[in-house]
Amino acid sequence: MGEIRVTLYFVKDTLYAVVSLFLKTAVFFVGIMLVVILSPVLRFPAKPPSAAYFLYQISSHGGESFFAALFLALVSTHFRIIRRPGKKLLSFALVLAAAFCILYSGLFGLGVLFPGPDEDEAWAGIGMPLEKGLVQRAGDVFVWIAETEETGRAGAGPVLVMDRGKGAGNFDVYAEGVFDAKSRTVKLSPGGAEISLADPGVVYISPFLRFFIDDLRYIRSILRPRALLDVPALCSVFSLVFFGFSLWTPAKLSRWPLFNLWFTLAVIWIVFSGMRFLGLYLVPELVLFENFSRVARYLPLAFPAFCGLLLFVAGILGKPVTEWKREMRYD
Amino acid sequence: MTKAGRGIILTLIIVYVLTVIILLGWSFFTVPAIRIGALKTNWIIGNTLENLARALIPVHLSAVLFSFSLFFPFEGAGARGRGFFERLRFMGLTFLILTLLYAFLLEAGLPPALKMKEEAVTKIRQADELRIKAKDATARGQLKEARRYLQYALALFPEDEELRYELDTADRAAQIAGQARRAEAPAAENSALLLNMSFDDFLERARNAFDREDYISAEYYAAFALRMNLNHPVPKRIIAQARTKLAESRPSQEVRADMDFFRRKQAGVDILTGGGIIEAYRYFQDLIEERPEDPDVKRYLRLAHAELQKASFLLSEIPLTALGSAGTTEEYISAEGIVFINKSSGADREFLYIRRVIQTDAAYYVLDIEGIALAMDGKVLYHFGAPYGKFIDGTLLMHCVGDAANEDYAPEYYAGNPGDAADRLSVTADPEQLFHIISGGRGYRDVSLWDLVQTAEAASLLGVSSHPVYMAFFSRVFLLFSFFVLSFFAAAWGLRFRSRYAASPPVVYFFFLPLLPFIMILVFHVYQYGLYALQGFLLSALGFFASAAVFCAVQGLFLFFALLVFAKQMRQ
Repeated sequence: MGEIRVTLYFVKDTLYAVVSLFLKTAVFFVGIMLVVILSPVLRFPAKPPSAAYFLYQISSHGGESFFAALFLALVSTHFRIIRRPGKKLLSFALVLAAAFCILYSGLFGLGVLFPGPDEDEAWAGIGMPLEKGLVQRAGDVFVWIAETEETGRAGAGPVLVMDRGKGAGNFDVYAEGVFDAKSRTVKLSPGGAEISLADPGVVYISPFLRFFIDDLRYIRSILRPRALLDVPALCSVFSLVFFGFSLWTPAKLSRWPLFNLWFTLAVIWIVFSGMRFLGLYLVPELVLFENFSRVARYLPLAFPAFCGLLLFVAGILGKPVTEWKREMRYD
Repeated sequence: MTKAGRGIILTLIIVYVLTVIILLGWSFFTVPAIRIGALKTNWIIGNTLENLARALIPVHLSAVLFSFSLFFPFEGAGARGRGFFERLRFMGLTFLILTLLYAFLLEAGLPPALKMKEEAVTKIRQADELRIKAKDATARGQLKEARRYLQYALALFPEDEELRYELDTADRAAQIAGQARRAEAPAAENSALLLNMSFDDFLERARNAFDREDYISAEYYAAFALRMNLNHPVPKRIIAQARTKLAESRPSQEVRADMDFFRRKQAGVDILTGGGIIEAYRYFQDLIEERPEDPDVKRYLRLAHAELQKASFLLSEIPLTALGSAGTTEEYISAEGIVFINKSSGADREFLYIRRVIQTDAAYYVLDIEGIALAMDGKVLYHFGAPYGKFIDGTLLMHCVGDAANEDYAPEYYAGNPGDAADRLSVTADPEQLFHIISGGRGYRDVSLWDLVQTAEAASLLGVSSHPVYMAFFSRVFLLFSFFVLSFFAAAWGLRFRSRYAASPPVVYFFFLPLLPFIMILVFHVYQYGLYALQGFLLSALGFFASAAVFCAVQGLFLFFALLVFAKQMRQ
């Protein structure tokens, strides 16, 4: 009976950390992707998007969304592991292995299942249907289509086009127009002229969020497994996961959990931004020097591993988790 | 209030004050190249309030997290006990008051602050434009025009010494030119022709002038009297006698000029009474250029102007810098570019394009109008263009009169013609709402919540997407709800992450405190962006009222969940 109870606690508090990591990654990924998929409606109204549009968004932003989801899950799992009972070392080791496998296979899988828009331009610009009966605007051009179908011919009604750049008498009337939802262009007839409605405006994203998204995009751009066993990609993924794994050190830094949390998040942000800074600004300078050129390109990926190592050593040298837990009254 | 409560309130106040000081400092060091002190202050205050409105929620949440993790007493307070409800009441009241203050900042403080900031930038741009125009006018020898530009620029920046010097220089040049002109054409004698004078009044004046041997005025007034009664012999006699006397007296050059001027005034009145309103207006404008102090000319010019405004408007009413040529020096704001459906009658549609709408205190003006009416089969019923327009009582008046003889701007019909009312158009849109729709690029931040709802409804009627307007509405309401609801979340999570130190945490940790607001800014913006996207989708799928109901329900759920988390932490 006692053995069964010990086993149950082991499963609940040690192995569940891995399950928790899986679940949290999935929930965060779905949440982030939902926002990414819905974000175009911030610019213009839309009907429920098509399946092709979902796929396009996943192929475009799935990588960085998945990476962000995994990292969030990792931080959350760390805080859980150090607070709850269980075999800490085993939990952390399992989480490290699981995070590595999930991230690598996830990035590889996304690359295989949803080829990026740069590889298949046909995906590009999959957009929303036009709003019927409303005047549409794209830059200096205004378009009104009397009757629209979601794709294909725009019915028998006229199409009115106003091009501000033309000078006097800017309104033109066409017998009909064909709207292409993918490219968001209207092909007018007679004449065959095409008008693009692809850019109805720019979504405002706060500079902080934009900065962070740019960090994630950069990291995603250097994390692209080309094959199932792509050694440089394996090393890159391991470097980042190891950094994530080492976050247990700031997670137990003090007896003030709020401080631990904001310090951990700040460390993550600084390391991500540091990678982008190294990759975009420092490496291009260093490769000009012959002695550094071969090493320099690995700097952005070595940076999180280095920071992870520092944190890991600091964690080993610092207060043991058990003692910290006792001070925190978690036991 | 308990000691913990005082600690929390004090922390919040200190954080707010520090935030304002930091944002003031930030604005002070990032102020663009604004030359003039008064506007620099406006810009700094406007920018500070704008940034405060933007940053206040994350900063406030940081302060709540921080203070609840340090000060909030949790010993002996169970979720079901009195302590829980007392603390809940304290939190609820505090957060509600702070939310109301935030609402006041957004709705009452932010719009004038944004206006101050925009005005500062706009005025500087306008002054620079005016200076360039003044230089250009001086180079062309148009000293009067140059003075006008410089006077306007100086009205915008009264302390600008450089502008004052340029105006003085232009003044001196204009004086020299004026002296030369006066030497050629001597000043006129004042006369006192009054409008609405009777036959007897004119006759009386003519007699008096004749008696004091002012034969020019005698002839002038007698001519008016004669026009009122063609059969009366006295005015005829006075005119004849005055002409005889003038012929005998060999008038000086000055008197001859006066005579000529009087005759021209008469001619102007003839044009005016003959229905040539625009011609009369221009005629009197020429006369007033010649003799600016002549009260008759002033009066007739006013009369001509009043008549003219019944059927048209003056180009000079439009603000100077908006127009790019002579115009009023009134302050204005403008918005650019819209096509909307002005009328729908059965299957017919009338579309209107407006390149620019100018809002002054007096009226709304538009530049570059183009209209087209279509039948459902694509047949063009009429199509016109007009350079200028003015909104008057639900109509767009498109007949504009400039100062020069050839400046008469009326709509040009490329196809069809509606006939009599060709120069005016009934407009369904309220110009204020139209202005709001066009200026939506600024995020509708200077439009009140109520106006936003009305503007959205107006946009739908005009065949323009109301989606951005409703989104602006939700984003504003969202901020208020977020302030209140997330405060409870922050309090609950602050409690969850409370300090386990017996006393205060080590001082070194507080050095990292400035990182907390930045983390919260990122977290809040992720939350904000996510909910905006969801709200945008709901708005598209369900419409305004249903999505508003979902919005309220979601916020209510969040609040409920925050209270649950809080209660759980209290139990622990």
